[in-house]
This record gives sequence, structure tokens and C-alpha cells, in this order.
Amino acid sequence: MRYTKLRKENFHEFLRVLERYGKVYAPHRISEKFYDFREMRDPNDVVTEYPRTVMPPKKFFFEPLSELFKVGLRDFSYSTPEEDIQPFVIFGVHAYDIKGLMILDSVYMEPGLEEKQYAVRRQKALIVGISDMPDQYNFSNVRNADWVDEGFDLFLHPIEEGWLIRVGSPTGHKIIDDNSQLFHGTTLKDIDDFKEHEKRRQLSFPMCMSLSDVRYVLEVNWNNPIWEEEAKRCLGCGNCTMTCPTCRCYEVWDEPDVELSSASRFRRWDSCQFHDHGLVAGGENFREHKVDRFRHRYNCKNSYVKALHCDFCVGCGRCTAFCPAGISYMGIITHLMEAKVHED
Amino acid sequence: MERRKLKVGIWALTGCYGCQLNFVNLEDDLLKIVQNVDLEVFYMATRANNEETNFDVSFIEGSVTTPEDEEEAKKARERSKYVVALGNCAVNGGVQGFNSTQDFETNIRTVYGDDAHFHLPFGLSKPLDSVIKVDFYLYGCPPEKKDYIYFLTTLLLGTWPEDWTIPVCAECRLKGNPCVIIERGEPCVGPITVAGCEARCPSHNVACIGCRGPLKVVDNSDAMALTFKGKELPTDRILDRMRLFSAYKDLSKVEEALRNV
Repeated sequence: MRYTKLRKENFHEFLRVLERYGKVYAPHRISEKFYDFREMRDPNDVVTEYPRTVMPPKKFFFEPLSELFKVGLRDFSYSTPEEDIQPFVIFGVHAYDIKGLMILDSVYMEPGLEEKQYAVRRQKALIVGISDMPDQYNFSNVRNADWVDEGFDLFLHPIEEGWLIRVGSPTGHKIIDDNSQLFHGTTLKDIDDFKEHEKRRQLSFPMCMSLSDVRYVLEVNWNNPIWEEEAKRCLGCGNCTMTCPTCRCYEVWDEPDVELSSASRFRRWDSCQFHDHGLVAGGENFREHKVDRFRHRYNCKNSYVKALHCDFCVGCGRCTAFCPAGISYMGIITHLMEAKVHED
Repeated sequence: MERRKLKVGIWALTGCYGCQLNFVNLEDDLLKIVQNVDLEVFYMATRANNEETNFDVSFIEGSVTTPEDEEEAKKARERSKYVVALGNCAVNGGVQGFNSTQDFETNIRTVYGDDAHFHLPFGLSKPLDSVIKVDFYLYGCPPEKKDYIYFLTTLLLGTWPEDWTIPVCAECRLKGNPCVIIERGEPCVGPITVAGCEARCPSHNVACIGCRGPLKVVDNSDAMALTFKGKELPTDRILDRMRLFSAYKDLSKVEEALRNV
């Protein structure tokens, strides 16, 4: 892999250069404790150190609300919205979120089954990753999502003089080559800085364990009383799934226009934590009770992604950090790992 | 394709007429709507009301507070194919139903003193479905303009409006807002309140007060109360918060949960 260096004094200029490749979205502080990806207006507002954004970058590709198609009610015509998606840049994406996008790709860009709106946005987007320092909720190391070798164009790691950049795609090479005045060769000292930072980072992860057997743990604990206990505290608000980088359920509905000349089908993110998620014709519901819905999320997030040989959960910690009821995802999983099924 | 015009009534019981006002606020869209709709009754907009006809759909605003309200509701029901409870007063009894745990006489004396005289035989404010069958619920205080259009256009096409069953939190996250419960421990009832407002208040950094009423399909108010208790909110404030727009909701689950903390 190609490594290059971006000095501190060139950082803002680098962000300006990225604007030439499309509109730049970057992490911004949106309130006292929250961060989110927002359109960059001033490089000074861009945050490079943040625990996690409220919304994962999936919102740029799988939009929270979109129109799928329109049917003419007089001429019975059918049309899909014409989209003119311009290239755009997402700056400052953490490794676990890049892994999250790769997992979404495995679903929405499965060969032969591409989701059009998702695929076109993926093709237009440039991803610039940034190294994160884990906080108490981050267990991406346990999920093998704390480091990525692909899925980005450039990836920034902090060093004393500024940033060490890993180049991950032909576009990434082009950005470096076209703006060579901004970049410098790396020195041995830079490499040592980089290694030192990674070591410190690895030691900062709060959890050190293996989750490779988590599917069996969940299976044999299907009737564990903890599901009922924790579900009692659950608000069913859907925050955990809305903020999850790999949740991808949606709801569709039809809406006629006011003149009754056409009707559109819309799509909106849905959540398995909502009552009607499992509701089907005839009034039957796959997950009628809150505990069914609560347990379901743990099983779904820990199911297997065949294409990538990993779990759907990337360990970003959003579902715990953004749960108003304070329910701990890893708290429940570690409890299940240690729980005895048989009582003496 | 020729379409028969839909005969619509917009009735009002005890309320502030705000739901009707928001219908009038549709302005340009209203002119398009009346191409397909005959507004036979519309108390706020006209005195030429034709109450004796049969209605395809009746929107009824306001809570059932007086005997006349109840009579009117029954009259509208008899003559209508569909009845829509319009706005929080009709859906849940409204803010005027707030103190439904005490009897009416005590409430009156508390507010107006012993010397006050009231000639109207009115009582506690009840939701519409406590006296007649309601087919659809149009939530909000007042409802969103787009909801009126959605209800009328779906019914005109011969289908029906789908019920909202997701909480305000969903829309709040989709808007990219921070969470006022997590960040400031505020008593935001977004998790248990019907969505559809695009999280208007939290988007202005204000906690949701639940004006669209509690979700009907699920009741997570006990978990909500536990969360608030964890943020050290006093029990009476938690109960008040939950009763504000849903006086008739059974809070025994909440009270039990709080007792067991």
C-alpha cells in the first residue's frame, strides 16, 4: 500500500482540494455531546476527533426517505424519479463505518440484485477514512472492524507532523498525484509515530474477547430470562436500529397527489423494534411482543455475512451510546456468555 | 376517468377550532381538493352547512364535553360511511381532559372558586371513540397539513389512510437531531408518541410533549417512566407529562413500574 504524508499546515487546504471532487460531508459537532456528518462549509468546523456520529454514513447511500416510482392515475404510466447524483466526498469515516458500508454493499449491491439508488450513490462517492480513538462503547476490535484494508480512497492516521495517509484506490492515487504540492514522503520517524499511535489505540479498546461463538451463545440462550428483564426497559423507539450502520429494513407506502393525477410509492427506514415491522396480511405478527422484537435484533446483528465472512454488527457502539433507556448491547451479550442455563 | 365527488363533513365539538383552521391553511391545495370534494359541513368556514345529507366521510374535531357534543357526534356517525377523529381532542380527549382523575365539580371550583356559576351542563372532556365508533385517527394538535391531503386522497381512490404506528424518535433520528433525553435528561416523550410531525419540537432542541398522542399499537409508557425516573424526574411530573395529551390513557402500568423502582 502507498503511504504519504499530509502536514498539519496543509490540512485545511487538503479539505478545500477535496471540494473539487464533489460536495464534502464531514463530522461536525452538532450539540454538546453529539457529532454528525454535515456538509462542510468551513474547514475550521470539521472535527477530526470524535467518538461516533449519530447517523452512520449509510444515510448518504440508502436515503432515509425516497420516492421509488410514480404511477399516472389517468394514463397508467409508470416512471422512476430521474436522479442526477453528483460526485460527493465523505470525509472522516471511521474504520467500523467503512466496514459497515461494505456489509451494506454485500446486500444492496449483490450481483444481479443491485439496488439502483444505492448503487449509483456508492459509485459517485469518495470515502476518506480517519483513525478513531475508541471510547467505552466501541468494541469494533472484537468485530474485526477496527481496521480496514479496502473500502476507502484515502485513510488518515494521526502522526506528530500531521497525518500519515494510506492510499486505497485509483481515485486516491489520483488525488495525491494531482495535488502533489500538498503531500510529502514519509520518514522513518513518521512510521514510528504511526505504529506508536496504533499501539496506543489498540490498548484503548475496552473489550478484549472473542465473539466467534456468539451465534451459538444466542441460540442456546433463546429463553434466557435476561430478554424479558431488559425488554421491560426498552422504549421500542428504534434508536438502536436507526443509528445502526448495517440496519437496512424499510417500509413502503403509497401516496396519491392532491389532484389525483398520480400516486407515488415512497420508502422510509423501518425498524424491527416497531410493532408493525412483523405485521402481515390477516393481522398476524411474527414478533407480536416487545421481547420478541428485542431479542430479534441481537440475533439479526449477530447473523453471518456470507460474502465477507463476518457478523452484521461492526461494534461501533451506537446502539448503546444512543439508547435513551441506557440498555447495553455488549452488557447483554457478555451476560449470556457467562450465564448458566441449568440451575442446580 | 370520472370520479364521484366525495361528500365530506368537517364537524366540531369542544376544541379550539385549530384543526379546522389548519385545513383552511391548505389554501392553494384546498382549491384542488374541492374539485373532488363537496364540503357539506364545515363549521369554521361557512354558515351554509347541510347537516341533513349523507356523508362519505366526516372529520370530527374536538372532545366530547357537553351533552350537545355527544348528540352531534352520534348524528354525524349515523349519516357517515367513515368517521375520522380529527386532532388530539377527538383522538384522546385533548388537553382539556387533562385532569380527568378528579371529578368535574372539583376541577371547576379549583379554577374559578366557589362563587362561580355555570349554566351549561358540561363535564369531563372525553375522546370521540368513547361515544361513537371511529374508523380512522388523524393525530396532532393540530394535524399536519399533508395528513389531511393523505386522508382525503386515499379515501377518494377507494383505499384508506394507513395508521401511524412509529414513534417520534424514528423521525428525530432521520432528521439527524441529537437526543435531548440522553444529552440533557429532558422528559421528552418522543419514544412513546405517534410520529408524523417530522420531530418538529426536538428539531428545535425542545423536548417532545406528546401532542400527537401516545402510540395506540404498543404501550411502552412503563419503560418511558423508568427512563425518566433514572434521570431523577419526580413521579408526579412524569405522570403529568404522560397525561398532558392523553388524559384517558390507563397509567396503571406506569404507576406500578414506578412503585417497583
